[in-house]
Amino acid sequence: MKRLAGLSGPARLALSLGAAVAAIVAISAGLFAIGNADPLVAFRAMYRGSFGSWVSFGETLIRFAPVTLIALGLVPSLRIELFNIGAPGQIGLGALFATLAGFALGGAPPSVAIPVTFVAAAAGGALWALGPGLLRAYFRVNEILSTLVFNFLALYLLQYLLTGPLHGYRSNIAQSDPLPKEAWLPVVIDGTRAHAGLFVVLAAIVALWLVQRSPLGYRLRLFGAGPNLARRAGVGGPRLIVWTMCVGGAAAGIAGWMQVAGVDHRLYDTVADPIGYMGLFAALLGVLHPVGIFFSGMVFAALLRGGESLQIGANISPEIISALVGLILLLLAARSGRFTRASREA
Amino acid sequence: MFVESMLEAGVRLTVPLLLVALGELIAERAGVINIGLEGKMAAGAYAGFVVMAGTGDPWLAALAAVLAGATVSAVMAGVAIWGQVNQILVGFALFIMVPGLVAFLYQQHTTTLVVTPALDRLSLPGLSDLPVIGGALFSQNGFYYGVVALCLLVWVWMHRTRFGLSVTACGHDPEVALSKGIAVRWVRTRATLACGALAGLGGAALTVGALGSFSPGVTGGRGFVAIAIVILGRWSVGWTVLAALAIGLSDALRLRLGSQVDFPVQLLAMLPWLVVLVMLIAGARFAKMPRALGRNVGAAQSVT
Repeated sequence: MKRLAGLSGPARLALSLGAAVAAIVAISAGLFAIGNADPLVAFRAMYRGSFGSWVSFGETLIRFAPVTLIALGLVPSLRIELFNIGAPGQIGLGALFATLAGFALGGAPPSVAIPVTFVAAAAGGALWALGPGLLRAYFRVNEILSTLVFNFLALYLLQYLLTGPLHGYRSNIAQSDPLPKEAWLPVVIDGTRAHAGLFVVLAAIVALWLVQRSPLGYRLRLFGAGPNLARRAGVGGPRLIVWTMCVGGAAAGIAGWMQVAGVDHRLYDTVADPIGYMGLFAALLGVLHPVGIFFSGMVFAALLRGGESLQIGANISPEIISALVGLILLLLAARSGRFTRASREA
Repeated sequence: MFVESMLEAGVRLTVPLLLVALGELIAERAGVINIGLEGKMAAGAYAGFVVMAGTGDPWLAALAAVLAGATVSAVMAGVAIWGQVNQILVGFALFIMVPGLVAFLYQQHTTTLVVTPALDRLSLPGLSDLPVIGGALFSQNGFYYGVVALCLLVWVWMHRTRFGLSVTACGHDPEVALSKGIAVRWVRTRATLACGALAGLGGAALTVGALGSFSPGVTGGRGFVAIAIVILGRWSVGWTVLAALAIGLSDALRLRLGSQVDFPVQLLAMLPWLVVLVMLIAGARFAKMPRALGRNVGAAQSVT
């Protein structure tokens, strides 16, 4: 992990991404063949689906935005070696809070509705990360397991609300009523579904770049390099754990807001589905660097979108994308292995 | 009737969890944490189901599941133990990769697969007629008797053999173990392979034993629950059995209540997860964690 974080030079970044692309092509061709599919047909379908036209590029962008934002938000906690896999639950709570705020505001004008739903979503996501953060900081409960538990709790909560109190009028699946039009995010590329949430992502990239160069970024790095040393220098401790967890949760909550206010315009229990864990993997593939995460977010968004078009274009099940993402991650880990010999413990 | 049927279902639901948790127990005692347990379980669940559907032979299905789980473990051992890559990173990769691969293979070949019949129950004459506990403890399918035997076997292996001692040494202080001439990486490799074999068998206990069917995502987080069970089980076989039973019984309680009480099923579904959360909090207080858990070591010469 530490060396992963240290691999931030442009050359190493290019190497990392080049290796990833080569691996995707080679291994996915093999997997397609195992699954009785023509790799060429499959690649063409994936390309058409993700970059082939403005419409499909817009579809890639609406996956790029939440994945990248979650990845950026996870960087502070990853720097102190916390693995928050709770993005699916935090997306769900963020989306739920945004939906409730949207309904509560009724027909308030967009200049009010959009900021309020945004803040509500961030609060919802942060709230869902607060529990695991406190448990980790004060009770030494493993955050990987507790955030996973919170994912399932959030899913069942959404399923209950969307078939009960929030159940949409005359609908027969788990969904809410549509959000008031005033709370919808404006489209930024005509003819596509690419929404204004992209500006939030760009702002977050700049913010992370600034934070990494600030005293706070230095402290996080110090803590990650050696918790005991950092503690002796007066850095870190429980509050840093809780805060970084909540930052990750807030980012995931805002990703949920993008799904509700920008894409679906109503709440489904499957709101986190294609994105879920991808933010964490994009953060790792992007070596915890803002520019790296921009590109890794684009890679995973294109893979997610391309995977969906495989079903239509080449009759291949989209689950192959999870296998590919795992392989990419494994290759990344194995490649950085030479640098991670030093013991993980402080 | 309510108590009997709930106990019976609770023990049945415990079997897959306990098999996976036993595997993780061995690996963690050796100092290896398997976040990718879910993947090992999924591999076993699929391989076992495919072989069962093809041959109808539960022994072959169990064997296939063991091999599939061990294969995933071999990747874990090769990259994490021998390549000295962060165990948690490799675990994440396997956690997303293997269930995805299994779901892909299932979808691509879905037309050729069928539902397998659920396994017959083996009732022990006399004992299975005991009141309250008879059905739960003495009238279950073959996987149950397998897990009972394996619990005893693992206990003996961990506490009464030289290998068990060296496993514990590798988990607590691998450097000292190395200096005493224990081949730490081989011991950890064997423990990890045993973990994969048991996790694969646990997957088959779920699909072949309990459900008689497979669906993508059938493992549903049970790999992570198994890690929580080992934490509350304080890395001991006896406590791990009790912790697994607690989850299995709460799952059974959820299913029973769902059919009898007028309460939203979605909220009832939270029950086993709340039990897991309480277990994690309780477990962290009494932790006797292997001190070198998650830490990789090099070859002997690099330590001296």
